[in-house]
Order: sequence, then structure tokens, then C-alpha cells
Amino acid sequence: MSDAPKADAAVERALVAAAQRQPAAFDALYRRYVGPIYRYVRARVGNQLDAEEVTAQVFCQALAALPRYRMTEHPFSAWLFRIAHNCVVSHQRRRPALPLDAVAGPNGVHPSHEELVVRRELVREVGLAIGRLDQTRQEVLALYYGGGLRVPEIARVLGRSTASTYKLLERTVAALRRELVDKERGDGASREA
Amino acid sequence: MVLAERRDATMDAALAALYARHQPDPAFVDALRRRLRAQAEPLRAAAVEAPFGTVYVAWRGRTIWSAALAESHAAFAAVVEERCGASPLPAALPPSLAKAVAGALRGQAPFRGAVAFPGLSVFQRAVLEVVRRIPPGQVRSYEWVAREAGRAAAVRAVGTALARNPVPFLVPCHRVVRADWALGRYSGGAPDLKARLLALEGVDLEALAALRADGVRLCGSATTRVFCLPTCVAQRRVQRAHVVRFASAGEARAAGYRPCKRCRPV
Repeated sequence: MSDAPKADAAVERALVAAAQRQPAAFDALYRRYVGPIYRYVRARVGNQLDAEEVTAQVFCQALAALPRYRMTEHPFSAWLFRIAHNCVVSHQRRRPALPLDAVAGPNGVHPSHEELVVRRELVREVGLAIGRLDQTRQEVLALYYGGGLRVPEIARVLGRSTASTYKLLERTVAALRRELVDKERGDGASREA
Repeated sequence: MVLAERRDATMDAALAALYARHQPDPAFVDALRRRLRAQAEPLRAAAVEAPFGTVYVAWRGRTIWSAALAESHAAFAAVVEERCGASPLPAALPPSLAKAVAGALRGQAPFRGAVAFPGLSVFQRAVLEVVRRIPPGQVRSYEWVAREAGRAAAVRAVGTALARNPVPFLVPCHRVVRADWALGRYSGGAPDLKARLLALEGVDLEALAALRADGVRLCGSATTRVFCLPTCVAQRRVQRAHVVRFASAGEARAAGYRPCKRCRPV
């Protein structure tokens, strides 16, 4: 398990080096990251059109800035997500953040199995609770679950220490769970009353 | 996931599911890939002689990225560097592109090739796409463009978008004038350049000035009972004796006229 990320990092370094020599080779990096970047952006900007707009902006800027990227400083993912983070922030400055609509409406991909229904309900509840979190916590969750970044990379993107990022993520998830549990108890209490 | 072991697995799964539910649209992924591929091509520039001066054009692949009147390649390269973040290499335009560009600069045919609008907002790009559809020899107002771009109240934002047009002449922002048919401002060059460009395409500037002096916004045909913007092609065919002039769409409607479907005056 510890070998996989290392091998992956080597592959990625090769891809980045190729793209820096020959911009047409950026395509491989694009294919690798378009999903994670989109999911991260989508979680932060709330609707498909804006998410596509911001995602396009991220990759166009990344391609233009690629010659300035120094491989020794950060992993490429942290660098790319840093651009994405900045694009999201400037997008939100232009247009105030909407609550996560990631949340509204069932997506209906799975057949209705009881377990899945329960899980879907939980997903919906969690989504609403996330919408009530502050921006930093929403950002950490979006980078971790949407972008699929590891904690040290998130720390680089947000300019915090790895330890504090770990703590922040843990506390955020714990707070979400607490809120959901409390809510359930609250519902139970009101039903009894 | 490293953290998963230290946390509630259900919670982790729910969060993972929540963030995984919106996947990028494959059509979008493809379109963006094409855009990036075009952006990865080297930026080149060439000079094209136009009736009103030497226009430099910068392109990547088959997409025009920048155009401007310039004294030299070096002067143009500085402009492009600022707009696109890269300096173009001198080159010769591919023949097909050269023909389309030359035709558009003579005001004979609209430029239908691909154009990049780096750094512009969605609305600004929508504005420039609307402007591209204004035919040579015709003018439209800022209000009209705002309405066609889907935000009727954003008239000033249209002005801003036009001022940021990276490819003047080919995206004909000079065809956008004030609603009272005064020419308005133009950032593409010398103060009379807008008038020169329009005159080259066959716009009757004296007639526009006369409309302005008389407070006329729209013209209609007494035979068809249709009202148009004054430079609409449909309007040009109306015999002089049958031309009716209106100060507003309300006045035209009250007289029993309907708006033209080609120039969409309202």
C-alpha cells in the first residue's frame, strides 16, 4: 500500500515533465485531474454551469502557468488545486456562495434498495449540514472528498500545517456527525411529545 | 482513505457518496479538452493589410486569439503578451485563414472562424458572440446587444465587454452604436476609426446622423407594416416613399406595425 502512492508520484512527475517540454502533453494531466477538479469545484460553487466555467478556467490557467511550476516544491496535485482554490475564491467574490445544492434532490442512479434509501437519506442530511458549516470547513471537505486530495496536499493548498489540517478535517466530520445525531434525537423527542 | 479507519465508516461513505454524485458532463470534458489542445499550440502572429491600416493577428492552430492595429510585430507582441500571457512568433497565416481574415477586414464578409476570448466572463463571451452575428454594413445598439445576450438591463456591461474585445474588426464591435444612432465610443484606434470602418462596409453615416437629428429610432414599411432597425437588410429594400419613421417601438405598435423577425428591434 505504501508503494502505490510512490509509484504514482513517479508517473505523475514524468507526466508533468513531458507537459512542461511539450504543452500538447498536458492532455494526460487533464484526463487525470478533470474529474477530481470538477467534483471539488462543483461542491464549492453549487451549480453545473458555474462549475464548468470555473473548471475550464482552472485548466486554462494551469496550462498557461505550467512553465512556472517547480516540481521540487509541491506535488503537482497541490499546485493544481491551489489554482482551483483561487479560482473558486474569486468566483465566490463575484457571486456569493450558494448553499451546496449537491444536496438537493435524489440522484436516482441506484435501484431502490432499502439500504440505499437509508444511505441516500443520510447523504441528503449530511449535505444540508455541510451547507451550514463555515467556508474553511466546507473547503476542506470538498478538497478531501470531492478532489480526492490527501491531507498534506490540502495543507499545502490552504497554506496551513499538516497537523492542523488533520485536526480540522477530523473535527469537521465529528461536528457533522454530532449534528446529525442531535437532530435525530431532536426528531425522536418531538415525535414523543 | 487514511482517515477512514479512525472515523465512523458510515459517515465517511456518506460523505464520499455525496461528493461523488456530480460527475463532469462528458460533452463538457471533451469541449474543454479541445480548448486546451488549441491553447497548447504555439502562438503565432502575422500582419494583414487592411484598407484602414496594418492589422496584426495572433493565432493558435486555427483559432484567432488577438487582433490589433500596430506599427510593428514587436509592438503587437507586447499587446498580445499582456492579453494572452505569451509572446507570439512571427509566421505566415495559413492560406484559408488568411482569406477569411482579409475578407472580414475589407468589411465584405463576416469572419466565421474560431476565436478565443481568454480571461473574459461568461456574459462577456455571450456579448461578443452576439456581436459576431451582426452582418457587415449594419449597426445595432448597446441595448439590443444586451437583450440578445440575455441580460436586457446590462447595457453598461455590454460596453465593458466590447472594450475588452481581444479581436476587434473580426468580432465587429464597431457595429455597436448608441440607441439614438450616435456612433458612441470606440477603443480600437483613432477617434474616427469607427466611422471609417462603418463607411467602408457601406453604412450610410449621413443617413444615421439625420435619423439622430430627427429623434428616429426605428423605420417601418407602409406596405408590409413591419418595423425594423434602420440598417436592417429588410429595410434597405423599402422604397423611399413607403418608409415610415418611429421614435419608439410603442409608437410603431400603436400604428399597427409588427417588429421585423430578422433584426428583432424589440
